[in-house]
Amino acid sequence: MTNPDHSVSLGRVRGAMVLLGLMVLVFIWAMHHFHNREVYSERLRTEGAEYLNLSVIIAQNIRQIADRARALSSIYRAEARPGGDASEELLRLLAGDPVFNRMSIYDRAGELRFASAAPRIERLPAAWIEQFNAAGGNEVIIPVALEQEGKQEASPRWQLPFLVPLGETEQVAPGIMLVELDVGYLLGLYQHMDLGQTGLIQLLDAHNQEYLRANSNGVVMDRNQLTTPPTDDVSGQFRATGAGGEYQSAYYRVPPHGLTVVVSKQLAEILSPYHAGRSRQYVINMLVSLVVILCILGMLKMVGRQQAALEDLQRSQRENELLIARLEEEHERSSRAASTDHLSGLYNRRQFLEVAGRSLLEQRSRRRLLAILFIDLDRFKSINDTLGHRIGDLLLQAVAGRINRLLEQGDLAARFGGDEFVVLLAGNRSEQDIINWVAVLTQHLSALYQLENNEVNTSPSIGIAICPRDSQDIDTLVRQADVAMYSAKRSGRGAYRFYDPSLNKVDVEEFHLEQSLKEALSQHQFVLHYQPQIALDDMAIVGYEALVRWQHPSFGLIYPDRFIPIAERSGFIIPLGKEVIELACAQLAVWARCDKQARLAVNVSALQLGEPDFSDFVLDALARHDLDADQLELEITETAVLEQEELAIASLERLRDAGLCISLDDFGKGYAGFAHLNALPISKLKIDRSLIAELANSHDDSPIVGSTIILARRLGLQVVGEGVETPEQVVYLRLAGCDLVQGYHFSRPLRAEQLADFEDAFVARSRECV
Amino acid sequence: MRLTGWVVGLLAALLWSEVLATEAVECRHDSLRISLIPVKNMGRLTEDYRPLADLLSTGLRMPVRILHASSYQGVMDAVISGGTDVARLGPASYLQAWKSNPAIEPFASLAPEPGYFSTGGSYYSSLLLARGDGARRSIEDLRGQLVALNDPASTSGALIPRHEFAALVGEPLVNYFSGLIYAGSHDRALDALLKGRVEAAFVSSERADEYLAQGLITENSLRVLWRSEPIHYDPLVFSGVVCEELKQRIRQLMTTPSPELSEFLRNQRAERVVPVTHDTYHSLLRRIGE
Repeated sequence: MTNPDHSVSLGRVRGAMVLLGLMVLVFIWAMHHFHNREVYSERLRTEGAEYLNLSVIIAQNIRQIADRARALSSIYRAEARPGGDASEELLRLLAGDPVFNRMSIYDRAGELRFASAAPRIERLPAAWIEQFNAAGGNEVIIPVALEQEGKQEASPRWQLPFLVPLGETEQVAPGIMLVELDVGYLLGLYQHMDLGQTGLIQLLDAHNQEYLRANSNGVVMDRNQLTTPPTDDVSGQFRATGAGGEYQSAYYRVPPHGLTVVVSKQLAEILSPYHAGRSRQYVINMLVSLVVILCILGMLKMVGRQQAALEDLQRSQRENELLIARLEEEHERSSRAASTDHLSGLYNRRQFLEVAGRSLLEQRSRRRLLAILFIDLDRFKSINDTLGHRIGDLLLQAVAGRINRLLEQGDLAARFGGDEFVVLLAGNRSEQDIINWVAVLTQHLSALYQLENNEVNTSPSIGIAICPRDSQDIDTLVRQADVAMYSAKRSGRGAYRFYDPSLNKVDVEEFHLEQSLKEALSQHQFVLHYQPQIALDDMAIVGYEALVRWQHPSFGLIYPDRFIPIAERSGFIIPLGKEVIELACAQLAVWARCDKQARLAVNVSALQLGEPDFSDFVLDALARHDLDADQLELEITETAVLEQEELAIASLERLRDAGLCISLDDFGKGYAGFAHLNALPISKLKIDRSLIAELANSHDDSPIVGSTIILARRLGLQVVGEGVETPEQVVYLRLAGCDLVQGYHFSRPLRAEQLADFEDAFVARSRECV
Repeated sequence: MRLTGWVVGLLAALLWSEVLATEAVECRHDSLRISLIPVKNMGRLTEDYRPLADLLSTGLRMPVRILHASSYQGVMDAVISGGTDVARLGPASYLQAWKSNPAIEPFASLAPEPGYFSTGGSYYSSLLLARGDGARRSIEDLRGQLVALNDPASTSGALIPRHEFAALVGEPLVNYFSGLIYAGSHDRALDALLKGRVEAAFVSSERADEYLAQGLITENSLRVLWRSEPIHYDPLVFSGVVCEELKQRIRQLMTTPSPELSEFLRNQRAERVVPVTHDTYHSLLRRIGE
């Protein structure tokens, strides 16, 4: 969306630009108009003034000519012969005079007395005499023009008459002298005047009749009748019109002589420089206007482009915002995905704990109960193993769905991994309500599941912890519910238990260890440590007992006393036992490759021994690693043999026959007696560490060990003392006839890579002793 | 009729010569005055005639003065009044002066060299000229145009056109053309044409040839749209006051080869001096409608 303020200001800027452009254009054209008007009138004024000057000059010239005529009359009067004839000198003077051609003398009545050349006028016209007399009879006048005689071809007037008064003298009666001005003389003057193409000089008589019209080329004769100047003034300017259009004219009158001089020029010619200038100026103004318009358009376009750029920017900003929103949405979705268990769609552990923390505070602030249920599905592992992971996953989803459907406002459900579900019950529930809810849940989850043509039965074991009774902290509550669940599980399927602080925490850990045993096997988290067995007669290392350890990724190294019972309980002891044999064979193979001769003893559990294919497995392992059978020693317990006696003894016999050494471990710990020993295919007897430990105090205190050794040797069995921790014990056992010993006195169990160092050190120590 | 005309003319001549002879006997001339029609700029014309003036001054042993005239009429009036002694007139202006004063006597003319425009041999023509580079190519093209003439008393520059050309086009010049400009001299008429002030000009062929000779124009500068019948070249005339003795001496001087005469002829681009009489020009009267 465009910023409205911005649009308004841009609109104003545009408006201002257009206004400015219009003002500039108006200014330019107004200037053009005023300038032209000024130039126009200035030009006419200037030309008019020039014509006026010219007409004054021409009039002055005529005036001088009149004076010359008067002078001529004086000469005539002075030199006239009796009778009135002009003197020869005067005639000669006249012949050489460029101004006047001829003279004629008339009496006052107009009768001709004398003419220098053939006279054109025999008698002065009455109008002339009248005009002459009207002027006072003493003035040189230019008489009015006479109508030309009707010739076929009108001839220009080439003489301009002057009537000059002649005063009376002795020789001459008073009269009038007519002298005629040679127009050729005037043309000689006028040809030097720059009158232009259309400039005209008119000489008019007292009646404004045209005597002569001339331009710088000569006397003009045409049919063009020009209007005459106003008669009310001696001089001035006026606008004459004629066939050639309008003329700018100036006139000057010489009233005593009855003559008017008019100088005119056509407006078109006067104004042609003005018109040319105006056209040029017009073109320039058009160009300037065009430039102004282009500038304005350019600026508008620039503003438009800026606006477009701004809009683009805003659009891209909007797109960015959208993108950011989408990214945020995407982030939220991925966060949700991260906070959600992908299989069940419930919360995962992390998110659950976060949300549950808030819920806890809320419930506490409302003084309401909050229950955490830890739910574990019974038999899930076996369902998973027998029907496959797919069905296992479907089952988990179905369980999640059933849990979810029972939730009410404010309740939360999560899957913590595997078949562990955790439910938070909020709302305003009493303890009984919680029990009821759990009962319903148990009922729902225990109902038959139809999963891809498989009918699956399971039930939940549920542990319940309640806030604020058990704890006010979510983590603790979850752990307590877990413990309670473990308790429920142990009490049978489909049970629930409230948290009881007396519940053993260790059991819970064992439970967890049991849960992770399978993963430990698949990821080879089990390792072997080796405890040397020493022959007491020569103090030589004859072999090692392999002791299994669990290198747990979270809990670190775990000793077998913690996980073997769990493994036995959960049935994992069989694959674990196989793993141990496999590891032992692999180690023997390594030693064999380094020419190290040592027997390795491994413990075999009762369950393992009960397996029908146990002997096959052992022999196969030896064969696979290319080992001699006597390199491997199997340690069994009495109870192990007793559980599956026949099967176990058959296997052991087969193995012993194959060359393996079989030893009976923990002898003297239980109730077993020598009665059984005969029946067992064993070659060694290991006296339990509890019996050896008793040797610590005094030699006399251990008749059991001594008699056991004696009996064993009688049965042809080698005797091994376990858990030897003191030199006294070593001495005693040696004296008692024990063959081999092992224990912390010599070495604690070592990692394979530590053995070489130990052996070197042991050999060196033995030599010192010897 | 013609015979009668001749007899009358002869008688008149005899009668006048009687009168003049009486005066000529007196022969009181102490100077000679020459008037010239302004066919061209008066100053240059005076220069042209200077060798003749010198010739006459030396030969006659008297001062010779060339008078300035502003128009043909002025020279005519001077000749008629006897204010001048010798004058160069145009053929028509001579005849007009002669009509006023039959004592005026033509005695010499010139035979101009043939030129691009003139045929030569003592004759010239009135020409209607247009600019060579102009659009006017025929007489018809000039209808309604502005045309220049010379002095209204000029033979080739006014009178012959006003009669012969008007007769050709069948109407007065002032009607056929939009306007007429009487420039006062052949040269001014030519100048007006060359400056484009007029579309055509009636000019003496002799003047056009002189312009050509002076390099003022080329043969292509002017286009001849009309040419009159040949006209005898301008006469030199004696006014009525010149005594016979003087006339004879002048005639002699002008027919006797001399450096001055040669120079005069060269100035006039003439081959020789041709003696003339009234009869030489008389026939022209008819052509100018007199």
